[in-house]
Amino acid sequence: MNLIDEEFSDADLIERLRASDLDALGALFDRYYSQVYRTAAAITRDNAVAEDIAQDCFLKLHQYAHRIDVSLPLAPWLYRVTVNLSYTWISRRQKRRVSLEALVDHLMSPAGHAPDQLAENSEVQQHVRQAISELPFNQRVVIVLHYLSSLNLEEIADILDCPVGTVKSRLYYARENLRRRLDESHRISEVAHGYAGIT
Amino acid sequence: MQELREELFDADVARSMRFDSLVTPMQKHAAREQLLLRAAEQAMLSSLALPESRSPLRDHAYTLGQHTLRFLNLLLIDSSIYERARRPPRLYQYYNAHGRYAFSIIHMSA
Repeated sequence: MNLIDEEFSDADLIERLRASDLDALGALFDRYYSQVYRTAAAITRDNAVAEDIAQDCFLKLHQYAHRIDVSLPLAPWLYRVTVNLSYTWISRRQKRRVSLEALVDHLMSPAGHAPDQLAENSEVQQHVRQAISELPFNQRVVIVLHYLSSLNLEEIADILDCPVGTVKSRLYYARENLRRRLDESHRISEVAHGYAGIT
Repeated sequence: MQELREELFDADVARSMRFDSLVTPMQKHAAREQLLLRAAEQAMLSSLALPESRSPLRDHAYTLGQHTLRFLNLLLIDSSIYERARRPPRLYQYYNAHGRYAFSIIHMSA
């Protein structure tokens, strides 16, 4: 029996998981791993950490299988755990006080190294990614969930357990911050290429 | 023009994020194997016991019982009201606005 088939809902798979059926966990992993991993990677900007966070997220799904409300959709629960784990990692990293040089290297380095990804790493996208990684955590999370996971404001509010107005305001300020940072980097790039002042 | 700029901005952000962290099949397979191994060693938490649900009728009966006890306590044990009523009223003597000598009863709480 193939558990990946769409005929098995998330609730069915969680029920099977409760009966210690690890194939059900594998099926849920196949269904949601990419979303969880990419969300963690976009928030932390570290692919190795994103892998660890995705692992921990599915281990928590296994551990808390009996306590998950199967009448509710699973995806918001997974996103919530991912965001919380990412937040824990980021706050621990800040406590470790990494050197400024290492931080700059980390932010400037591309997230992926696959050939198709390298082709996509245009200068604009590099600037966008760097600008996102410099946003405050709350704004970064909203940007990631909105643009990467294509979630609407209500869904994000549900995941972050805060009012829709708060999400709306964070998204507004995040976009303003991004725009300002991108304008600045664009200006710096123009100066570096000697285009400044040319009209 | 402004809307076009907004759309371009949104498209740039969305595109840069979508291609940022693609998952390779090999990476996913390795992660899956590792997850299943770790999950096999991990114990599942039991479901949380739901709090005992109380019927509204039971709640009302409880509240009524509490009020009755308090009322009986007031009537039979607490004598402060009776003592206050038994005491003679206190008189306060003074000259009123017309300069005449007068007195009044002061109500004082116990």
